[in-house]
Amino acid sequence: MRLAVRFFLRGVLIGVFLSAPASGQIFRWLAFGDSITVGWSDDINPSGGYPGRLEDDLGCTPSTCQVVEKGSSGETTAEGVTRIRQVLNNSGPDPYDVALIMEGTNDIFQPNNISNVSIPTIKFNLNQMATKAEKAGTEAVHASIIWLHPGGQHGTSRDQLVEELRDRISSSARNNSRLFADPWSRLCPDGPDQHGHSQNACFWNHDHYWLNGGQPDIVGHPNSSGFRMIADEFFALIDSIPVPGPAVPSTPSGMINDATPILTWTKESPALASWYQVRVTGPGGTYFQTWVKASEVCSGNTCSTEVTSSLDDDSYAWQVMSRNVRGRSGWSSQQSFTIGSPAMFEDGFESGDTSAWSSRVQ
Amino acid sequence: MSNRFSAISLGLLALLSAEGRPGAAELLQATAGEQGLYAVRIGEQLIVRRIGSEGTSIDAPQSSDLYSLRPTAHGWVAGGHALTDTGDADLLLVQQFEGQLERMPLPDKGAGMLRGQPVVLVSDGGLVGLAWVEGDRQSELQVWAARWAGTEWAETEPVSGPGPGSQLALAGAVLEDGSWLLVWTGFDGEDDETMFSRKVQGTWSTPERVHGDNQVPDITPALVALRDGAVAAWSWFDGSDYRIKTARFDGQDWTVNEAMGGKGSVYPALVSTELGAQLLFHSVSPETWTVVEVEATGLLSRATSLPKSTRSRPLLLGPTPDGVSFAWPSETGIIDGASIRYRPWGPLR
Repeated sequence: MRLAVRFFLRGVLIGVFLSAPASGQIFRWLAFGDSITVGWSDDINPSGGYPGRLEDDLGCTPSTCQVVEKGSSGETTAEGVTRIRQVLNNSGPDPYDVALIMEGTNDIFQPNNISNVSIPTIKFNLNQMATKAEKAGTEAVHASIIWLHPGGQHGTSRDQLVEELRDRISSSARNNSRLFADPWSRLCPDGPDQHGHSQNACFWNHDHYWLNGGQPDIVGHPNSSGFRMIADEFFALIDSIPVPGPAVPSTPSGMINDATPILTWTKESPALASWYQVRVTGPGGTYFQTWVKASEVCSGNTCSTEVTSSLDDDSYAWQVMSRNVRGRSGWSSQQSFTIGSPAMFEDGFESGDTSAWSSRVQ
Repeated sequence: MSNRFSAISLGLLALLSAEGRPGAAELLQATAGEQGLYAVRIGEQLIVRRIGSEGTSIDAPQSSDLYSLRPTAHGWVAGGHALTDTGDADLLLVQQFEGQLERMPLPDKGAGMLRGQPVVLVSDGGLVGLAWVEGDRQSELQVWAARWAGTEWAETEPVSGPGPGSQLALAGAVLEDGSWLLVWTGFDGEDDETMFSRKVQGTWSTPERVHGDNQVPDITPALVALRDGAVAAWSWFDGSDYRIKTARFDGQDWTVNEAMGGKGSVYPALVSTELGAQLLFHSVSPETWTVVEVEATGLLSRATSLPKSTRSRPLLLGPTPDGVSFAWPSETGIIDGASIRYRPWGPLR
């Protein structure tokens, strides 16, 4: 009786897999917001605003990184909820790495003295934008909006709202494991005064705001000095976190019989990544690739995510890449696995072919 | 009553373009048609005019603006806000009466330090009341109203008591039966809802939702009175984007219609016409201005859209049997023929 036990391999392992584009792509921060993101009132570098300054601060070259300005003057957050999806969908073959979301000034500044939209709704909209970014594989960073010009329209009541919105955004960012940049504080460097009235401390700090023909701007656009400070705030946040090293793939490896395996890896050391990209490659190229948020897929030092597209029986390799707001690691070392149905009899016995059998068990 | 404004003809004042300027003045339109009434900011002036006529200019620094505007038998009445002599913002109420511009007295304040968003209530060709929001902070606003007794204001009436959050974006109208109907955005502790209250025979109803309870924002309502009732429109988050919801009030109940408009449809306005009203809103995707014809019965019948080339809100010149014309006032506030865009009616989607 020829009885052999082996694993049946339907395919042939090919040593050279197609490489995914992610490893060579430049790192991109998306600057999403309104006219302040556009740099509308930048009196030194027209339309440069904070994105251009931030890109310089980050030391970007055309082949390494880019801050992509996608502001829309006059936009409110109810509109931004829709536009950000368009921007994300038009990101090219790869998603933006990070979205810097700073919007809400036009919700609070409206032509009448009381806003038409409440702070809870503005916060809701900003959270929707961040959620859409994350669904696209982009890390979302929330930001406070800056004070309206203290000498501008409705300074008192509007700035109460700006401060309340800042507190809500900060809390929302914390609750959703997102980073929070605080240009509000950056343009109000003295912070709350001895009486706890932060507004008073900011009231005289006009140096960073744009003047329209010598008069206070009614909206509160920054001038070049203000844009410099906003860029400083984002840069300080981004540059405070080192680029993560690669994580270590763990399982699956070897032979498995699960067409949608769960990929498990160990965090890099030190653990600095906020997002991971995993990819599964095989003879035909890349079969599965996705970004996942560390706070959602990791417990302790172990992270895992399921391959959601069913893989055929074949041999594969998989890797993981770490990412945070400062940059990406390279791809990790490969872990190989093979999906196959255990075949107990190499002669085809399971299919009813008994011709190779020479005797019967009585 | 002081009269600190003077009527002037339109000058060659530079238009403060809204393009690229967040928060720049929006065009405010009360009625469409040959005598359509609208207001637009031109520099430090607010110009109120009827289509095809000379306008009236109100001195209005950037700290002033209009919020509501209605025609009267002898001119018009408008509510807004302006800085007081002490530098605080308060209501602004002006009327043009037989060509003369008058600043009107204000109702007594309620309990708050801050008030705004005044809605002028007009019936039988004259001002009958005013509603506004007021509170110590923008997150603590309540709705108030007062009746105009012809020469002075009656006692201020609370419409909505304190809520779990702000109550704002007030709109309102006087219905054909003489009742007053107000709608606004009210925070219910979870999200913003479109609320309403109606004053019948001197008594305000308990504020209720126009629509069913939900867990998403319903914001920035508009309202217009029609024969036998009214129509409200607001922006509602559909789980992914804002779209426009409308509801018909038949004098007793609200009937909410299916959502309409493209993704990111926001800031609806309802403009009265001779036969009903027009609903105007803009959308992010596709990027358009859309007008919906509202029949006198409240039926939404036809619609048309125009690609959006500017953030500035267009003026509706009035419907024709076949379509509607959009226009943008020129730098002098008049309607320049070159800016007029005609679009034929199409089916409502």
